[in-house]
Amino acid sequence: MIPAQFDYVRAESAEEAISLVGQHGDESKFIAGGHSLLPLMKLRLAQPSVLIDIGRLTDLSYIREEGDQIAIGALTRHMDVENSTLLTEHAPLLAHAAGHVGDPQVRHRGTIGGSIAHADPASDLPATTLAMGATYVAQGPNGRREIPAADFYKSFLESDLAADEMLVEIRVPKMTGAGWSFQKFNRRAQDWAIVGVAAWRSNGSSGVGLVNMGSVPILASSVSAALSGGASVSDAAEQATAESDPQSDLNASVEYRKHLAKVLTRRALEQASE
Amino acid sequence: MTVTDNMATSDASIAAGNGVLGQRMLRKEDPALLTGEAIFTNDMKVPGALHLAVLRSPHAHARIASVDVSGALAIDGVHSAYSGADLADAWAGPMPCAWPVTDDMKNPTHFPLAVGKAAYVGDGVACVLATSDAIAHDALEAIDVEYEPLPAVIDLEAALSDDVIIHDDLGTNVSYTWPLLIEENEGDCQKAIDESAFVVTERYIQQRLIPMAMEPRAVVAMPQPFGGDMTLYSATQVPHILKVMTALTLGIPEHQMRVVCPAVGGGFGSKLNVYAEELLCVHLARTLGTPVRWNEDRSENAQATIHGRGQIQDIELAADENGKITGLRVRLIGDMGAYLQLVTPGVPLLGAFLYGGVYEIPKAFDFSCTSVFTTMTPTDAYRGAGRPEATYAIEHAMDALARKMDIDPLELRRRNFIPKDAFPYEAFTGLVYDSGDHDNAATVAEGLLDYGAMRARQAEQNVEGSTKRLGIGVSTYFEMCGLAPSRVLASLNYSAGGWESATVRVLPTSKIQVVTGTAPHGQGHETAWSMIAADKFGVDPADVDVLHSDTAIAPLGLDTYGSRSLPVGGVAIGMACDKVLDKARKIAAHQMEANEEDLGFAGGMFSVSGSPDKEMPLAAIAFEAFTAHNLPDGLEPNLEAQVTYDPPNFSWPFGTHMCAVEVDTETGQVDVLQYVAVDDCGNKVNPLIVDGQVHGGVIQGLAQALYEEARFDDDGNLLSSSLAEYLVPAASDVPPITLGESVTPSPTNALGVKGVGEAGTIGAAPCVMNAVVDALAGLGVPDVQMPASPLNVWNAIQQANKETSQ
Amino acid sequence: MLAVQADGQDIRTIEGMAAADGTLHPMQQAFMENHGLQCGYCTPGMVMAATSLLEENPNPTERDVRIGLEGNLCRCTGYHNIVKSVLAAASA
Ligand SMILES: Cc1cc2nc3c(=O)[nH]c(=O)nc-3n(C[C@H](O)[C@H](O)[C@H](O)COP(=O)(O)OP(=O)(O)OC[C@H]3O[C@@H](n4cnc5c(N)ncnc54)[C@H](O)[C@@H]3O)c2cc1C
Repeated sequence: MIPAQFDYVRAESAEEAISLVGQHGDESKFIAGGHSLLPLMKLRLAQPSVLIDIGRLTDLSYIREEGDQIAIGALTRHMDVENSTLLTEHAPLLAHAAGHVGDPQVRHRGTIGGSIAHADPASDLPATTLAMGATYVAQGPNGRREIPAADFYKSFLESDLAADEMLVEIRVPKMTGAGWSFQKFNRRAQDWAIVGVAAWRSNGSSGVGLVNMGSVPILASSVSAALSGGASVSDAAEQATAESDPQSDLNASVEYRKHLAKVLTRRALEQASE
Repeated sequence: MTVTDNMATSDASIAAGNGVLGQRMLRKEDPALLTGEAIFTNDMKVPGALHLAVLRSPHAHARIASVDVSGALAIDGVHSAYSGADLADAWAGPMPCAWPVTDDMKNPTHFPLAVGKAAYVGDGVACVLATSDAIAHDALEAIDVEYEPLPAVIDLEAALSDDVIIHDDLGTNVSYTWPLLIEENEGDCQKAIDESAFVVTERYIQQRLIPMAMEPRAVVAMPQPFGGDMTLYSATQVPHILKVMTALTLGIPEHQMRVVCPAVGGGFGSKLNVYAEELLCVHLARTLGTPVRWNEDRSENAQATIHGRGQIQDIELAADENGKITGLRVRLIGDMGAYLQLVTPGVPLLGAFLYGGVYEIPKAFDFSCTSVFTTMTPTDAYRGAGRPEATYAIEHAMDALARKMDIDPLELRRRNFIPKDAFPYEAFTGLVYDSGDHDNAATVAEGLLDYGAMRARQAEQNVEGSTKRLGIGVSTYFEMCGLAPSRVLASLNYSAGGWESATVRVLPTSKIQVVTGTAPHGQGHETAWSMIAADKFGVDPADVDVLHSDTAIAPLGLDTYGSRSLPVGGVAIGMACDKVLDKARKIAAHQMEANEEDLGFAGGMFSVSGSPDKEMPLAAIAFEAFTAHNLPDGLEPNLEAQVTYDPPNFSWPFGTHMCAVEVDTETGQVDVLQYVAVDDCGNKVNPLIVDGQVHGGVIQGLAQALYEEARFDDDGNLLSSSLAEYLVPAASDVPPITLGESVTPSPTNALGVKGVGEAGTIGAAPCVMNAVVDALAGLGVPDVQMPASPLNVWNAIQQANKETSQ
Repeated sequence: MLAVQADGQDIRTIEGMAAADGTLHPMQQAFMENHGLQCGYCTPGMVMAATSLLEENPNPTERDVRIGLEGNLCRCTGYHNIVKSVLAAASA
C-alpha cells in the first residue's frame, strides 16, 4: 500500500504538461484526479518514475455550449458534470451517469478526462460518451486533433492517445429532449458496474453503450440497428451481446454477464422510450 | 423510526442516588474519538523506531529453497533483514495454540516466519527493518526467495482426502475429530431419523469471512534501555493473554513484559490472537535494544490476519407429524487454514452446543466435527465464533422442514420453543439455559414486522410470472455467552480459565477508580463500568474512572471476546463495589458508634436507622480510610477491593429476528425491505450501547448473507484481498433496523445481564437467507449458496428452471 | 490523494472541527448524542464526509445520507446511528 518512489512535478499549463511528458518519456504519467492511477501505484501495479500533476489546470475545467455540442474540459470533476445545468438540459444521460461514478470522494476528485484516458471498460463515462457519439480532443506537441469515441478505445486500458498527448476536451452532441437511461448494476452503490448500459433514443435513432462487457467499452450497434429496423424493445435488447466479449470475475460468469446485458438493455430502452 | 429510538438523554450527569443503571447515558469515550485526540497504535510517535515489513509468500504451498536478503541490505536506510531460518533460534516456543481440543489433535509447529515451507499466500518468509515504512517496503522487493511450488489445497473435502499433505510431519491434513458425546443416547439419533414422519437432510456451506476491523493491526515494541523490561503496544483485544504468550514464546520473564492497548479500532475476534508480527517486533526490539514498529496495510490485513467461518455443515433434522423435533445429526468439516492460531480448533466446539437452537430437543443428538488444514489463511474466532454457524444450520434447516411440512415457519418454531416456565432448563447437551421467553421475543418481532400482513402481501405479489418476489425470513437463537465457567472450559480442553478480575478503589477525595481486566475496543466499557460503580456508590458516573488495557495498571484479566465483558467482567465490578462498601460500612459504624446492621446506605450516604441526624457520606469515609487516624482495630487503611469472578454458568441471550426481502428474479438482486430484531440480553446497563451493538451485529450478519466472501482461486490466491473485492457493505447498501424490546434477566448473576456483543450477528445471517429462499421457494429453488449475491441467486434460479423443465 | 497535491490549499481535518474552547461541532455533538460511533476509527472520516454532505445538501432524506456516506466504511455501528446522527445534525 506504499507506492514505489517517484518524482512529482506540477504543470501550470497543458503545453507545459505535454513538454514535461516529452522530456521524461515513458516513465512519466499525468495525474489528474489520481483515482485510477494512485490505487494502481499503491499496489505497485504502476510504478511511474515521474508524476506530472495536471490537476490544477483549472482552465481545462469547464462545461460550455458550442453550437450543437457541449464541450467539457478534460479536468472537469465528475461532481461538476453531475451537477451541470447545461448538461442536465442538453445531455442528461451524461450528467446522470457521472452521478453514478464511485462514491462522493471519487466524484469530487476524479475527472472526466482521466476516466476516458484511462480507457477502463468497467468505467461508466467511456461507454456513456461512446453511446452518445462523443468526440475527444487530444493535444500533443504538434497541436490538437479530434478523435471520434468510436475510434478511441484500442484494447484493455489502451487508447488512441500517444504517450505525449493529453486529452483536453470531450464533446458530446446535444440531445435535448431525447429519451435516455443509465442502468448500472453493481453489488454496492460505490462499486464499478458488473454490467452497465447507457442508452438514448430520439426520432428513430438510438445509441447503446455497454460497461464492462469486453476489453473495451462496447457500442452495441446491433441493438440500434434492430431498433431502426423496427424491432421491439425486447427483441432489440436480445442483440445486446452481439458486439461484446465479456470476462468472468468474482461477481459474474460470462453467461450471467451476457444475461444481465440483455435485461439491462431492455430496461434501459424501455425507460428511454417512455 | 425504531421502537426504542427515544433520544439519548443529553444530560450525561444523571443525578447521583441513582437509577443510573438502565439509562441511555452518553459515552465517556466519545469526545476523544470525535476530536482526533484518541491515539491508535499507529498514531504513536516513537523517535528512533525501526519499521518492520514482512515479505509474504506469493505461493499457497511451496518449499522455500533459499532466501537471499542481501539485495535488501544494500538499500539505503535498511537496518537489517532476516529469513525464517535466520530467526529459527530466536523462539523459546512455537506460535501458541491455546485449545488442544482433543488429546491427539495435530498441531503443526510454526513460527513467526516460515522455515522450510510456506503454507498460504501471505505466510511470512522474511522481514526487513528500516528507518521508514516506505524504505522497508521497497526493500522487500529486493529480497530473493527461491520457491518450489506445491499444489494448493483449497477444497475442504480434497483436504480430507490427503492427496496433498500440507504438513509433512503430520502425515495427514486432519487436525482432529471431535464428537459431542451424549452417553445414554447411542443409536437414538439414527432411530429418530429412521422412524420420524419428516426428515430434512441439508448441506450448508459457511463461506470464509474476513473480519476487516477498520483499524488494521499495528504494533510498537519498546525495550527499556536497562534492565530488560519490554513494553508491547498492540492493537489487540487480548493484552493479558498476549502478555503471557509473548513471555512464553520469547522466553521473557513475565514480570518484565508489559502489554498496552492504545485506542483499538474494532476487533470482532481478529485481534483475539497472538500474531507473528507482535513476536517479531518484540524479539527484534529486544535483541537490538531499539523500538521496532509495524503497521499492517489493508491487503495484509485481508491475508495475514485470521479469517472466520469456513465450514461445511451436514445436518439431518427429524420431526414427528406435528413438527416436534425428534432427532438431530450434525457433521461438520472445519477449515482451520494453514496453521492453528490461538483458538482456531475450538471455534466449531463453541457452536456444538447450539445446534438445538431454542427448541426442546430430545437427547437423540449426534454431533461431530472433523477439522482439516488447507493452504489458506488460518481461521479463528470471528464475531460469534461457532455460534452463528450453528444457529444458521438449525434455523435454515427449520425453514426447510417447514417447507417440507408445508406449514408456516414461525408456527413450526412455536411448536418447538422451550416454554418460558421451563427455565432454568437443562438442555440435551447437559448445559443449563438460564432464562428465556421465546414466545414473547417472537411475538414482539411478529408485531413489528406485521408478519400476517406481510404474508398476505407476499401471496399477492408472488404470482406466476412475477419478477419481483417477496420473501419473509424468521430466525431465532440462543447464544452461549459470558465465556466462561472455567471448569466447563477445562472439560473442553481449553488451556485457560474464564474468570474476570475487577479492582475498585475509592480515592482519598472519594473519586472512584475501577480497574478491569476487560479490554474494550469500541464497546464502551468506560461508560458502562462507570455506571455500574456509580450505581453502587450513589455517585455521578463522571466521578468514576475506568482503567484498563494496560497490564501494568490492570495486571489481572482475561480480556474481551465471546460477549463476556459484562456478564463476567461487569459482574465482577459490582461484586468488588460490594466488597468496598462492606469495608466502608465497617468504618462508618466505627465512626458513628453504631452497629453495622443498623446502617443504611443510599445516595452516597451512610445513615443510622432511627437516628436521622447521624449520617456520614462516602467522601468522609474515604478520607478516614486514607488518613487511618481512626479505623477499627485490624482494618487495613484503604478503601479498595479486588474480586476475581468465575461465572457459575454461561449466560444465554436469545432473540428473534425477522425481515422482508425482495428478489429481482431477472438479475438476482436482493433488497432488504425491512429488518426487525428483538434481542434479549437480560438487564441493560446502558440501552444506548446495547442498541448499537445489535445494529452493528445485524449488519455484519446481513453482510455474510448478502455480500462478503473470502474467495481463493485454485492456486490459493486470495482474490478478495482489498475492500474493492471484499464487499463490506456501506450505508447505502443496508437497511435501517427496527429494534424491539424484550428483557428477561439472567438469574445467574447479580446484575441479571447476559452480554450482547455477538447477538445481532448470530440472528441475522439465517434470517436474511431464510427470506431469500422463501422468496424463491415458489420457483422450485431449494436453497441459495451464501452469500446470496446476484450471481448465486441467479444461478440457483437457473438450476431450478433446468430441473423443472426436465 | 498525495499530500503534495494539496500544497497551498486549506485542509480541514477532524482536529479542526471543535471550537477552541472545546465545544464540539454540531456534527460531532450529533454523533455523540446518537451513539454514532463505537470504536471510533472511522469516525473522523464519517464526521468530515457528513459535514461536507450537509454543506452540499442541508436537508437530506435518510436515503440521501446513506448515499452521501457510501464512500466511508464502518464495521461497528451498522450505520444505523451514523445516519441518525447526520439527520439529527441536519435538523439541529
Ligand atoms: C473507490 C473508487 C471507486 C470508483 N468507482 C468508479 C465507478 O463506479 N465508475 C467509474 O467509472 N469509475 C470509478 N472509479 C474511477 C474514477 O472514476 C477515476 O477518477 C477515473 O476513472 C480516473 O480519473 P482521474 O482524474 O482520477 O484520473 P487519474 O487517476 O489521475 O489518471 C488515470 C489515468 O489517465 C491518465 N490521464 C489522466 N488525465 C489525463 C488526460 N487529461 N490526458 C491524458 N491522460 C490522462 C493518467 O496518466 C492515468 O494513466 C473509481 C475509483 C475509485 C478509487
